[in-house]
Amino acid sequence: MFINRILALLIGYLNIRFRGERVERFINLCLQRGIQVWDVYTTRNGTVVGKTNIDGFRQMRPVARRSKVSVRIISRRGLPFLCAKLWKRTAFAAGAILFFVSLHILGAMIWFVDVDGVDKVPASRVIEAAAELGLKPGRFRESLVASEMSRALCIKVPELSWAGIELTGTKALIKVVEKKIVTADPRPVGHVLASKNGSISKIVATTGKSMARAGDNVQQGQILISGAFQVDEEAEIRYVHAEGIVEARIQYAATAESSMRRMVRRRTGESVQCEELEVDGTVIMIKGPKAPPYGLSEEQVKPLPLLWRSLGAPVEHRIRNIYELVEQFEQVSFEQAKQEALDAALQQANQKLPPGVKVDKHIVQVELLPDQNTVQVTVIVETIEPIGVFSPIVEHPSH
Amino acid sequence: MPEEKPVRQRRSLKNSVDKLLTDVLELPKDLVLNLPRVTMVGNIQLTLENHRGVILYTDSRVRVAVEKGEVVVVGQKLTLRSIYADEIIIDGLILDVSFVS
Repeated sequence: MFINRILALLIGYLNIRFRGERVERFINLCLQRGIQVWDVYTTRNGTVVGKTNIDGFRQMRPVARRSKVSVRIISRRGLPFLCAKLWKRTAFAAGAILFFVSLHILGAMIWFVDVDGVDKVPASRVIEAAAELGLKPGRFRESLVASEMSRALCIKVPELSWAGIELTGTKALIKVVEKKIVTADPRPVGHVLASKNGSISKIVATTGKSMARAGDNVQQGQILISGAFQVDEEAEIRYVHAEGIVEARIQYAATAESSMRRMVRRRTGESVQCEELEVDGTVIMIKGPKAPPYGLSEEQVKPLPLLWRSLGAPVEHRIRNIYELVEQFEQVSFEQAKQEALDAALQQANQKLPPGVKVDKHIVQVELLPDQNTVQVTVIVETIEPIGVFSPIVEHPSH
Repeated sequence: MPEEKPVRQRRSLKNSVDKLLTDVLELPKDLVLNLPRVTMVGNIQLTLENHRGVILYTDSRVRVAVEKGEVVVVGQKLTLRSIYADEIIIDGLILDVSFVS
């Protein structure tokens, strides 16, 4: 069996040769005396060889004599013989021992130092600092105290907030975390003020403290988000660049009037036609009256196309129609008057709106004035628009 | 010889009792009757238990004494792999195993 072979190698065995007539008898006698013999086989030249252990060989002498078999050792195998051989070769043994000892010593040293996690601080600086603290190639691992080393490393390189040392084999990995240096906000401190009068619909302060709530009516110039505030009553005042979203409802009002009974001008149907030539600024009448023959009139001028005019001659030929007009009162319905007034009021109000603003709703107030003739329409356009403007604080202790 | 007779009788009586035991109680015959047990692994290894010693060993023929006779193993390149007091392992190319009583 395999385990027996290993055991035999450990305790040592001998290859032996039997010579004689009665090898079988010899083997049986060995068995009787408890001498182990194994791997018995016949070689090509007819001699029988086998194996036995060291003790067995010692006990074989009387057996061999009795069975008249001569026993010779061919070779010696196993650890005891190997040791004996090594004992004779001192230099070789010493070399082997030296090899293992040096392997062990070199394996216990640090040979590589690496840095992980550096961003702004150069890795070479961390390695140099570690070397000054003793973490460098050639140092024994056992003599390192990682916790002390990492603390000392953080003090040595002030940009580091944490340093950890990981030892794997002959490699030391320094893991570091850099400090995040918080830079001061370069923007000036100040408040967010209301740019218009209005009713707050939404206020969200991202920096600073909001001073108004949704639904509050605010005046132009009022502080909406304060850049100077206290966290609680005893804390000192913090100054920040206030920022946030402030939206408010702003109303734009416009009023327009329209009469139900009004004077209108109409054409009577009478008209005259004049024909005239204009040459270099001088008007030459060709046909018709020189002045309009009606008290109230309106004109319609129609230029006649001239072939030679396109050549750039400074002459214009035109026909002028003059229509007679008559004035009369007209009664319009309330609805029509209201619509006209509403259109006018809306137009006025829309002119007041800043460009690109979101209109939320229209409020229309219609009123018939005491004269029972004039319809007054007031339109209030309500918009939702951002009203927050930043205004720096001029008197500031730190500025 | 007159003294031998009762001995032989006693032996045969013991044998018949043993046989009865093994047959009725199904005990292993090799243990009770001291018979050899031959185990073969293909034709390359033979294990012989309950032997009484090697009678002959050559590389083509091995004779092993057993209770009531001998086992003859014929083959090529026969090797006594291991020899213990009650077990012999024979390696080699085994051609024939016979029981001679």
